[in-house]
Amino acid sequence: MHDENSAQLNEIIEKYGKYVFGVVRYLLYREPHETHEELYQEVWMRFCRGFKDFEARSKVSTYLYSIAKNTVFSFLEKRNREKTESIEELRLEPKAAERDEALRLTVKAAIDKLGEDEQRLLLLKYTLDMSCRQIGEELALSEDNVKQRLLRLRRKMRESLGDCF
Amino acid sequence: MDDTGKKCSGMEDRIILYVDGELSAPERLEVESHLKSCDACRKLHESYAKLDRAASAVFVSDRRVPPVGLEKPVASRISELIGNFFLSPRFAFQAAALAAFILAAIVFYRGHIATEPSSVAVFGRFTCREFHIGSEPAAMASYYGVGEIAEGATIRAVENGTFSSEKFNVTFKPGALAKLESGKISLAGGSIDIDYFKKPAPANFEISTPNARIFIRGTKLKVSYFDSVTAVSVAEGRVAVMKKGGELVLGAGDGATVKKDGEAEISPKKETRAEPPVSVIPKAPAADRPVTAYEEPTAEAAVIKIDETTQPVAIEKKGNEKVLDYEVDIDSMDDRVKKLFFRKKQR
Repeated sequence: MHDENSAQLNEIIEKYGKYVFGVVRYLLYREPHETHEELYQEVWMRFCRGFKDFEARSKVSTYLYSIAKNTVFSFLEKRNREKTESIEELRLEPKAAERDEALRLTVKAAIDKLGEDEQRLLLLKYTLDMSCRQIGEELALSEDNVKQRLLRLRRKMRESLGDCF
Repeated sequence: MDDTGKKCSGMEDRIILYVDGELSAPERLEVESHLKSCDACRKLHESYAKLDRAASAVFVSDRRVPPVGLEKPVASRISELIGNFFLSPRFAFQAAALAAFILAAIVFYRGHIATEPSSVAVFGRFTCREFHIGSEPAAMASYYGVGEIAEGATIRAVENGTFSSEKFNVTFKPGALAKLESGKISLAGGSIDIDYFKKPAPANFEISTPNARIFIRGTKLKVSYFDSVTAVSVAEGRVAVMKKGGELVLGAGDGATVKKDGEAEISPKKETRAEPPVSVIPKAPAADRPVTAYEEPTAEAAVIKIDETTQPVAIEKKGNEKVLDYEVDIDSMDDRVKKLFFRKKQR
């Protein structure tokens, strides 16, 4: 039973690895890659710890998303307690020097304005390269529903970006 | 778009779906021909394509997603293993083996630091509770824990093991025996999973077994060799399996077996739904021919048009020649959407 569990676990890690990494990366976009890697490991550790209670009571991606969010929040809380001043530094950091990066940050700002449900659609679409049909299966929605939502949110993003696009 | 009037009504949605790759082949062609004739919609397409690329970059790092648990120092790996062992019901029987393992791991790790040869470039790392390394299967030494692997080493994994390098990861099932080189993996026996995550993958990366040659492009796949039969299944990307008088092209979700006589066939799918056969492109004997010829498909697939409105997904420079990779959706015979990669050379 132990082996069965770990095979199942490996399958989940294999399938959703990029998704979890995408969630961490998105929520902590300005942090370096190393922080993403660290929290990525942490998310899976938390997931493993609770794995035997998991039993597919919720959709895997939904469950992983909430773990990742909690992990990121406890990371931010802990860091804010330790040193509040570094946040100022972070904000002043001229990381957006490259034009590409500036563009990404603008687009990220537009994504930030979307609802969490919409952000999760984009996460599944981009990190796991899922089609509307696959996203529908993942979230128990119809393909058409997913398609309409994705259309609407892209129009919304482009509108909020205005002059850049 | 506002100034173009009724002619373009409904075009914006179709342009977004076009960028998403959600349109069927005829719809794509229709959008493409419209884009050629309409400046406003072409701008709109550029804008959504740019948005798509930037949004993708927000979520997807250009660096690789690390394997879970592998990037930790050996000490914490061992403590984790101890943790797992205590949880295991077989703990009592394995306690002695565990003690030996920890000791060996520590000795190996320390010895490894002390004797690290500076002249041999490190090709990758192998993590496994027990594995054997040697230049040939007959002369192998045992290792425990994590080892640095030089290019061309042959590894036999006693338990589940993982090889990680800058370009690809290989997971070994217990008993798998394989030689690892930067452009080739030679599987002598057992089962391995390959994840070539470095993009773009070289066109001639090869996985060979005693009776089969497999070429990959940006791919996750499983290869096994038992009882003179090679089995391949593809999780991501595209793979070409050499067979008698040609090659078998596999896409994501496909599997194939190569028998002793070199005859290859598609394995039945796990799903109950019957799938159309994957096209076999007949070719001259594939002696030294890497799979670089991504000709337009000859099967019942729709006409593929590549023009300036199509965005390449990868660009590779070879001398003064530029090779562009295009990802094109093909409307196949049922609702399964296949992605094929095309290459176009540009001087």
